[in-house]
Amino acid sequence: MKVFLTGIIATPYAREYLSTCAAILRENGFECYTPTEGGWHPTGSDQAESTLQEDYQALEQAEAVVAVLDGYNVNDGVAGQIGSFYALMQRDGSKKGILGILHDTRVARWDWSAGARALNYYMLGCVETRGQVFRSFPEALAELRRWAGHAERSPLKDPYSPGLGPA
Amino acid sequence: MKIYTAGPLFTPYHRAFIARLAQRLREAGFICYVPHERGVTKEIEWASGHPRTAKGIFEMDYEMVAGVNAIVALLDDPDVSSGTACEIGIFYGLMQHDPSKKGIVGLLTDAQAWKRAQVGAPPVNAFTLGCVEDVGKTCRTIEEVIDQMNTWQHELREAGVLD
Repeated sequence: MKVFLTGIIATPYAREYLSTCAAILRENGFECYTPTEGGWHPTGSDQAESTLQEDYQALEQAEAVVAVLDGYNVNDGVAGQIGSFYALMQRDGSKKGILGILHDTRVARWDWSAGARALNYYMLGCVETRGQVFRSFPEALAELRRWAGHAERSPLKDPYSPGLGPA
Repeated sequence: MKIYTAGPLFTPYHRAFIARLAQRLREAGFICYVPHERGVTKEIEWASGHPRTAKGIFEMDYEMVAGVNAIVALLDDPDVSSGTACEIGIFYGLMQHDPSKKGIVGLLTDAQAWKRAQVGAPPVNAFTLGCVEDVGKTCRTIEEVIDQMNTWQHELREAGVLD
């Protein structure tokens, strides 16, 4: 399954997070595009600046989107990609849907008690039409594996430990 | 020399970066106060049903901000985090009457902010940036931050404030 993975790309640590998730997706048998890697195949760099045409073509090719929804407001580029994929889904039955990942404690609270309810409803509707928002990457990966018909396996350990980050 | 690391703590990758910054500062010999290290206990309290209040968070962080010689503040994201900006303002005020407080270093890795700077706009809020640049500088890398902190530590030792 081809997965378009998107999120905040303005800071080095946010790009590193996306690259870590992309590597895990590939280990799990998915093809993965991220705007920071410049294509479907990892180049070893997370410094690429993709163009609208490159990203849109990848959205056309993708069967699923995984979007990191962090920030007080969801990043405008991420929201635009969600909207584009939602429109593509309307005429392409091969597209499975959109999965969100929300860590931001200002929106979801530290214990995720607010969940995704404080996100913009229009964008959330795009996601939840054929998908849902998860609190961590491993949970989203488990859903992707279900969509792809992969066998059940034990949950992945979160590559970012609860307090500090990469284990 | 004691340093407080201010910055957004809202996602695992923010916390990971600030933890990495603190580790590098400690390896360079500085005493580093990191809000989310103290906050871990509080997080557990929150998850187990004991709410932490805004006043409680403020008191915990103020104690750290008021007790250090310098601040490094992560200025990334579309806006500087309001908590970070408030801590910058507090430290700037405290500095006016306390010679043991050397300054504020802003750490800005955000590519969008530097794009704003390239076209002549302030990369972050001008008042916040002014507080930083009046008593310190803005850096792009952790290495630059450590260089500035070493300079200030040397100056404090020369002045007899530090051993």
